[in-house]
Amino acid sequence: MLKTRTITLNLGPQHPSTHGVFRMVLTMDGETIVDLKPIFGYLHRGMEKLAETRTYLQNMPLTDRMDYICAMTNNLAYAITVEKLAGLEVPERAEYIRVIMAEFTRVVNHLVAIGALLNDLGAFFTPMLYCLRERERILDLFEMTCGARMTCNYLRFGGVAADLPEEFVPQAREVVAGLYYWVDDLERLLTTNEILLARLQGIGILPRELAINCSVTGPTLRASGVPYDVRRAAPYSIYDRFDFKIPTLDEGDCYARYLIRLAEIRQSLHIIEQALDHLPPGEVQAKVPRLLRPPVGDAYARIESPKGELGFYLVSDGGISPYRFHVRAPTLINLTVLPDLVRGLRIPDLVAIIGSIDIVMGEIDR
Amino acid sequence: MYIPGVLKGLWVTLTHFVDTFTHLDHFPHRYHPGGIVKHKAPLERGLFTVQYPEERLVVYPRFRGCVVQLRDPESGEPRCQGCGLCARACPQGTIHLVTEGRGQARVLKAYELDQRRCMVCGLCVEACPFGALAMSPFYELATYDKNELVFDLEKLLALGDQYLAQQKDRGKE
Repeated sequence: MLKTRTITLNLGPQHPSTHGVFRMVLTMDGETIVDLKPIFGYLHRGMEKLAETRTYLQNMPLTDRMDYICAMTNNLAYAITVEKLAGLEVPERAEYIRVIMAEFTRVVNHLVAIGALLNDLGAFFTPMLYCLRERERILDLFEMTCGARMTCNYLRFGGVAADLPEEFVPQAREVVAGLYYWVDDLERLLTTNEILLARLQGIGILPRELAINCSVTGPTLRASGVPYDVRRAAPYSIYDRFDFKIPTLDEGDCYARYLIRLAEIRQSLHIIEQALDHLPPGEVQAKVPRLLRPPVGDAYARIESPKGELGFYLVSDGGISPYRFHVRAPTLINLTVLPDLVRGLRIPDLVAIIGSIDIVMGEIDR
Repeated sequence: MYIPGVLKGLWVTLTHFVDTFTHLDHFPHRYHPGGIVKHKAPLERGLFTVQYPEERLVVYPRFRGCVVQLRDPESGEPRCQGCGLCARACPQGTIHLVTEGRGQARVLKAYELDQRRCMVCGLCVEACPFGALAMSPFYELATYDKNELVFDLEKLLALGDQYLAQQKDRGKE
């Protein structure tokens, strides 16, 4: 038997498959990965410290820029935490609008995740652009409502910044109807494709126990057979009023994670339909002082963001800005299982795994 | 064998490709005449792409472009009273203003908006009690010298006049 020496290989930080600026130091034995050391922090902007120097409201546009693909859910998590801290009530209509926006954001995120995964696999930009085209229709709805496509800055403490424009509800119904059709189209294109199956099935199997031990959340956890979703486990906002399923698969491989995302798009569309049907009239903003000074104390609130459990921890010293601002970013914690997943695989499999656990560096580094 | 998968993928791609030719409303021209394109309705078929510099999308009324100062339509004076709430609301420290006098006698001497730092969040517009600020639909702000992006009151008012004139045109349509 010939003995071979292991070599060290750098992947990233400017590698297109790392979804941003993420560096991995791989120890390779021939073509097999022996070990992986993740290095991040290239996009660190000091957001948690920066937030301590700004008022509560001024931090709202900052949360847009953490997970820049799903700004609305970041806004929602932050708004819910401040409302818990300051004891604010939210009008009924605003709650429905928040749910509609959060679920649309979930669709947007899963579309980008699937598109980027296929891009990484080498289906160069054809599925990606189909996904981005459908996403654009949803971003049009966002732009019509709040004036921006991605950095929405839409939610306010005790409500939302502005009521829905008149044409929103009919157009949203059309978008939902179109998406149902289009997700089927995407499945026709991809789900039974032999190349996709060969690249994803049985790759990067995340066992149930490991997923729970590493406190992985979101679609990555549900693909490993744990039916855990914060919307069900600890309902926030008005999620207890809607009828939706939590799709779960037992395989835990990349293919299961891909299928879970498709299933979740359908469930989100189902929630949006219900919310649009029951959208009540009324106010969208409660009476809140212009300069918020929450009482001394701390609060932690969490939501099911598209990527997993997103939590904000805020400490107030009674002033106009938070004393401590901490974010529990789902992708950072989902990333901790990466070295265990890739051992014994090859570099193309590593790229598929990164794509399937859906990381965003803006949220990991903050 | 991967061949059926490849063929199936190519077939879906081909149908989408043919689909982009279903709407040939501006066929002999490559771009829309006039260069203004409306947002595609959700179920509308046809070519989705906008050939940007030649064609531009109509922006939504709430679109957040650069911040502008507005004039009072009757007197023609700037609406800004120099209270400084916008400067305090801004997360980035974009707005600087100089005033003279106190209370009722307060006069605005200088107003400066640093477009280089602005992230168009719109918090200043929400904070303004006089309705003197607005988010305009202008987004093409590139210059050769970045110092030109520090807008003073005159420049902001000129942009505001442009914005109001554009809104008037829209109202007529």
